[in-house]
Amino acid sequence: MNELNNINDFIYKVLVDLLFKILPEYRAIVGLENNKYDFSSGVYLFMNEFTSFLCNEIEKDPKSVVVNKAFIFINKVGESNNLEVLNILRVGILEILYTSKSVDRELVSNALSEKLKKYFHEFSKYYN
Amino acid sequence: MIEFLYRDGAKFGNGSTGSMIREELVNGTITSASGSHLTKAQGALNSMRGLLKGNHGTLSTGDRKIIFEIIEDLTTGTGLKW
Repeated sequence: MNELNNINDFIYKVLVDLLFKILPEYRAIVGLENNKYDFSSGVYLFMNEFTSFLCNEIEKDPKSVVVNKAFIFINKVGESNNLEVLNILRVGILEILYTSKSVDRELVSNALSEKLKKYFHEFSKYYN
Repeated sequence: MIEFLYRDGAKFGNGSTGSMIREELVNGTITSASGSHLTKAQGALNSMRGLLKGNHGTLSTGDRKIIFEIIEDLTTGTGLKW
């Protein structure tokens, strides 16, 4: 099973590297030094933490550079056709955005690509 | 981390990740609208394991109770093992 876990670790690393490339401000916030990745909790919880950070930034200023870059990252990941990557997007990011009380859903929806808008609004089946 | 394992406003269950997995099993597909929460849950279990190992003897009774409640939620009816 360890060999199969390498697949998850690889996806983690690619997504985290992309996030830090688009939003270097977040690397400084998590204090992650180059090439040191903590895979133990997995990419989902990492993305949940990132989304919590994004929600705080949206609350402070929804038009900030950081928020704009964060959605560039989210929409970039959304271009993937890899089912696991899209699942990470749904469960790691979109679900947290959808269920955050401090965030306006319409604002988020307007910032998402057409493809991700659909995934975002599908959470209405599971949440009020 | 706990805030990510329980989400308000759920239409079923208590909004926990475990509830969502049990719902996904009922729906029967990982491409359901909610997405699959199994890998997220496994990551959370790994984190719980790390918390218990790394803080043995220093966790409060309350903290340990919460951790074991999370473990129970994630491993009941989900197919995941502790």
